[in-house]
Amino acid sequence: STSAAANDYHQNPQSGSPSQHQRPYPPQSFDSQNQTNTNQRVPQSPNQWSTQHGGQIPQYGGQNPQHGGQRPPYGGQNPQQGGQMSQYGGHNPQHGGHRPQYGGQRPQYGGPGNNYQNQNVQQSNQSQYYTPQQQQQPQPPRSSNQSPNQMNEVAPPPSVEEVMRLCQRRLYKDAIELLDKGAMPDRECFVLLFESCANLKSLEHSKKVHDHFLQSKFRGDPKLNNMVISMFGECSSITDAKRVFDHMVDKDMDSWHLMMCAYSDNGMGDDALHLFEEMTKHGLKPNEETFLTVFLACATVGGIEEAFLHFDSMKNEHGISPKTEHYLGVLGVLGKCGHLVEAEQYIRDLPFEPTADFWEAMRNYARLHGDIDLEDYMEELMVDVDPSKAVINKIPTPPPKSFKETNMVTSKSRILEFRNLTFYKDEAKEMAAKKGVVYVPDTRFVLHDIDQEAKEQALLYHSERLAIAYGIICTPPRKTLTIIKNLRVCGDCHNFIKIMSKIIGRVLIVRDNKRFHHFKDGKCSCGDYW
Amino acid sequence: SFATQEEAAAERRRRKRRLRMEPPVNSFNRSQQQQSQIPRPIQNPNIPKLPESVSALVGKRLDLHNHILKLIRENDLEEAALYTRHSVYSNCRPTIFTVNTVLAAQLRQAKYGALLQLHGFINQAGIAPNIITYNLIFQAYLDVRKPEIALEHYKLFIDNAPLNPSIATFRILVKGLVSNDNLEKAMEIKEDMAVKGFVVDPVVYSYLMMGCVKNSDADGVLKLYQELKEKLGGFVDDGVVYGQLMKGYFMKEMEKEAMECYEEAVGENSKVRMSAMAYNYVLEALSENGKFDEALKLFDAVKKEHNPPRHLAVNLGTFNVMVNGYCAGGKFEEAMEVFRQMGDFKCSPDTLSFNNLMNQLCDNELLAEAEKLYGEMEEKNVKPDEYTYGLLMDTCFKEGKIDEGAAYYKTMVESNLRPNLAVYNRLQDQLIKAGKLDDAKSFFDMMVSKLKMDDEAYKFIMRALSEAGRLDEMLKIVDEMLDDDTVRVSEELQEFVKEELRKGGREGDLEKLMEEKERLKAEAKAKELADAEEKKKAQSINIAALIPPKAVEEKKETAKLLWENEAGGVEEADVVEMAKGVEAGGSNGQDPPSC
Repeated sequence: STSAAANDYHQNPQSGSPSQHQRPYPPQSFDSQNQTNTNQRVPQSPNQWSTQHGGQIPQYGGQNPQHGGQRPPYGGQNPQQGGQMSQYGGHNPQHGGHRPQYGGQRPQYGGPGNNYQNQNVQQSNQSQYYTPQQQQQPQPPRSSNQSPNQMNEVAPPPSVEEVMRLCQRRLYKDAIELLDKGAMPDRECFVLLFESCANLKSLEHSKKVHDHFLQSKFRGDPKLNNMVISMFGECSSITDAKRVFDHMVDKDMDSWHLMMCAYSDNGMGDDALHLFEEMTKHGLKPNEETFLTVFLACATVGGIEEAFLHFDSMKNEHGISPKTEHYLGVLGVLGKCGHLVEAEQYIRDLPFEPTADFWEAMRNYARLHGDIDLEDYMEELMVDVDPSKAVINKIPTPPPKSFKETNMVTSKSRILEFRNLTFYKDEAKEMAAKKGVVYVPDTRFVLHDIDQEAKEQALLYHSERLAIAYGIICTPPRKTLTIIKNLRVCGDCHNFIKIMSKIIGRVLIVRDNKRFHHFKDGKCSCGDYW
Repeated sequence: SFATQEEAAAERRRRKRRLRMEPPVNSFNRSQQQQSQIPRPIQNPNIPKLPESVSALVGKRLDLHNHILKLIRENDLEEAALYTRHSVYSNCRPTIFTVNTVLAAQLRQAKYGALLQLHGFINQAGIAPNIITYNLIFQAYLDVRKPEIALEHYKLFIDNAPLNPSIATFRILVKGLVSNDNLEKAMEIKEDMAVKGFVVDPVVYSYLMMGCVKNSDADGVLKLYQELKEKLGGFVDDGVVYGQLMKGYFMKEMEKEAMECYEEAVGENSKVRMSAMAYNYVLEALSENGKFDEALKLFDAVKKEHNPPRHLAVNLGTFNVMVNGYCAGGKFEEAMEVFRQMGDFKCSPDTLSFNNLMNQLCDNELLAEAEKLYGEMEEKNVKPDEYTYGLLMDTCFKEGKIDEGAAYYKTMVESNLRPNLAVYNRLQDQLIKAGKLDDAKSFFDMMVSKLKMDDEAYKFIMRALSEAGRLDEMLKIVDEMLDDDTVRVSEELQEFVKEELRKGGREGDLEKLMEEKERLKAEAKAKELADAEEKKKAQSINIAALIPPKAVEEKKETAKLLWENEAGGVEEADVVEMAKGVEAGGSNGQDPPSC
C-alpha cells in the first residue's frame, strides 16, 4: 500500500551511525515504526537541540544563558516561532526564514498516522521544551497542496515516471508540483529535478525540491548532494550551497570543486580561493580539476599574479603537468580581467603550437572587452588553424578613422596649418543649443509652511515620480510607460517628467484628472499649458 | 613578511580591493560571516565600487552586449551610445563591458566628444569602471593632446581605483606622452612601472627611444637600450627596439655599429623576433640614413616572409616608409607603384598615407598624379581632410589654375570640413589677384557666417570692393558686422572704412549707418523690456491664483528650471568641446589643437 511504501522510502540511510550528531539534517527519523532509532538519537545530540532552542530561552524566563549565545547562525528567526523549530527537526535552520511551513503541524494531525510529519510531532513531544503553550502560537495557514497526507488519502501519489516525463518535456514547474502531491522520486528522478531547477534558476523551486530530497532516503548520497550544491550555485544562493556543503559528511573532491565554482559563478572569487586554502589545510591533495576551478576564481577577482603562482605550484609542488585546459584557464584569467595585451603574449609564448581553442578564447575575450580589431584578427587566426570554425554572415568591420598605430607617418601630419581649431560660428551656436539639462526643484508647488529643504524633500515623493521610478527599473529600455493618477500633476513633476523622458529615452504617458500628457523627448503634448 | 608567495600576492591584490571583500583573516571569522543571512554590508558608501566580473554578463545583459556589438559593426555609433544610455534606466543595466565596447568604438572613430560624454554619464550612473575603461580614457585624453588631464586621471586611478594597471596602461601612457613631447613624464611612468613590479616591456622602451630620437638625443637612446638589455639578462629578443637603436647609432655617425645591430636583428640565425612594426622601424632607419638599397632588399625579404594571418611582417606603415624612401630618391613612379601594392597585402591606406604621398607629388610639381590619387581616395572610401584639399588648392594656384583651386575649397566647405582663416586668406588673395572679384565676394559671403574673421580679412575684401567702386556693397558688409553680436567693429576698421568712403566722396555714410543702427538697437531693447514686464505681470497673476499672495515675492526669484550644461566641471566641458572640434574636422585625429 501507499503508506508502507512511504515508510520504506523515508528510511534513514544512516540511522544510528556515530557521526549522526554532525549530520546536516539530523535525520529526524521520519518513520514511525523505527521508534528505537529515534529515541537513540535524541540523547546523542543534546547540543544540537539546546542550540536550536537557545533563542527561545528568554521567552521562558531567561534561564540557561550560555545557550543564548549559541544561536547566532539562524538569528533571523523570530523567537515566537521557536516552537515550530523543534517540530521542523534539524533541517529547518538550513532554510532560514524562507521555508514553507511544512512542520507547522498541530497536534490534531498527530494521530496514530504513519506519515513522517506525524512522526515529527511525536519527536517534538520528546523535547523538554515542547509545551502546549507553543502550540497555540499563531500558525500560518497551510495551503491545501502542502498537505500530502490529506492528498494521500484521496488519490494515490503520482508516479516517478510521470515526474520524469514532465522534466524531460521541460515542464519543470509542473514536475515540481507533482512532488507536493506526494510523488516519491528515485535517484535518477532527483538528478533530473536538480538539473531542471538549475536551468530554471528559480531558488523557490530549488528549495522545494531540496526539501523533498532531504526527506528521501537519498539525502546522504554525496553525488546528489554535489548536484544540490551546483543547483543552489546556479540559483545564486551561495548561502544555501555553502550550508549543504558544510553539512556534507563525506565530501569528495567534486564537492569542493563545485562549491568553488559556485562562488566564482557568483563573483565571489575571494571566497573560492579561501576555500581552496582550507581544502589544502584539510590535507586534501588538489588535483587537475581543482586548479581549473582555482583559475576560474582568480578570473573573477582579478588575481593575475595569484593565478601564475598557483600555476607554478601546480607543477612544482603537486607534480601535475599542465594540460591544455590549464593553459586555457590561465588565459581566461588574463582575458577576463581585461589584460588583453598580456593574454595575446601568453598565447604566443606557449610551449606548444596554440590550438584553435586558444584563438577562439582570445577572440571571445576581445569581443567581451569590445576590441573589434583584435577580435577580427583572432578570428582569422582561429579560422586559419581550424577552418571549420569559419563564421558565416559576419558583418564586415567598419574601417577605423585612422591606422595611426601602424602608419608610421603620424609625426608628419601638418593638418594644423589647414584646420580651424575652434568652432565655426554656426557650429558653436548649435553646440550651445544642444547643451544638457539640469533639474532644479520648483518648490512653489509645495504649499505647506516648511523650510526650503523640507519642501524639496516633499517634492521627491509625489506618486507619479515613484511610479515612474518603479516602472523604469522593471521594464526593458525604451518601453513606453503609462501612469494614471487621479490628482492634478504638479508643475514641478511636469518639468521633472519632461526632462526624464529625454534622459531615459522613453515615451511617458501620464494621466492626471484633467488630461493625458504625452511626454516625449523633453516635450509634453500639452504644450506646458494645462 | 608573508608565509608564502601566494599570500603576498593575495595581499597585494586585496589591498587594491580593500573595500567590500574583507580579507579572510581566519576561518573562525569566516564561518560567522557566511552564516549571516544578510549580505555583507558596505561600510562606507564613499569607497570606490568594484567593477563587475565577467559572471555578470549573462542572460539579458549578454543579449544587450551582443546587440551593441552588432550596432558597432554597422557603424551606428550614435545609436549604440544612446541605447547604452537608455538601458541604464531599465531592468537591464548595461555591464561595464558593454560600455567599454561603445567607448572603444568611439575612440576608434575618433569621436572623442561623444566618448567623454558617455564616460561621464556612466560614472554618474554608478557603473564602476574596469581597467579597460581607464585605458580608453587615458588614450582619449592623450589623443586630443591633453596629457595633463590624462596624467591627472592616471593619478586618481593609481590612488583610488580598486584595480591594478595592465601593461596596456603603461604602453598607452608612455606612447601618448612621447607623442605629446613630454619625454620626462614618460620616463617617470617607466620608473613607476618598475616600482609596481611589472616585467620590463621592450615596447615601452621602444617608445621612449623613439622620443629620444625625436629630441636628437642619441646617448639617451643608447642608455635606454643598455638598461633594457641589462634588465632582460643581456639579450633583447623583441625586435621593436632595434630600429630605434640603429637610428641612435646613425645619429652618432657610428655606421658600423648600426649595421651590426641590423645584422643582429634580421641576419640569418637571428633569435630576435621581428614583428611588422619592428621591420618598419628598421626600414625607416635604413632609408633615412642613405641605405635605401639595403632597405629595398629587406623590403623584398619581408614581403616574402609575410604570411597572414600567422605571421604579419608588413602593414600600412611598411608601405608608407617605402613610399617616403622612393620619394626622397626622386623615384615617384616607383613610389606610386609601391603605394598601389598595398592592396595585395590586405593593407588599406588611410587619409594620412594619401596625404603623405600627395604631398611629395605636389612638392615635385606632379599635380596630375596627385589628382589621380585624390580620385582613388573616393574609390577606397577614404575621406579627404582639410590638409588634402588645402594641398590640392595651393598646388592648383601655384600652377595658375585658379578656378580649380577655388573648386577644391568649395568642396571642402561643402563636405563639412573646417579650413581655417589662413587657407581662406590664400584663396581670397589668389582670386583678387586673378581679378575674380565676384567669386571672391561670394566666398566671403559663404564664409562670413561661419569663420571668425580678423580685421585684415575684412579690410582685404572691402578694399577690393572699394577699388572696384562698389561702395554700397562695402557698406553692407559693415552693416552686417554691426548686426552680428560676435563681431566688434574696431576703431581702426572704422577709420579704414571712412578713408575708403572719402575716396568715393561719401564720408558721412558710415556715421549715418551707425547712428541708425544705434537707434534700432535702442528701440529693440525698449520693446524687450516692455515684453518682459508684461510677462512678469501675467506670471504673478498665475501664481497668485495658486498660492497666498504673501509668498509670491520670494518664490518668483528662487524657483526656475535651468537648461544648462550637464554636471562635470568647466574643464571637462572644455575638453569635450575641444575634442568635438577635432572629430568634426574629419581627419586622423592625431593633430588636434596643441594649445
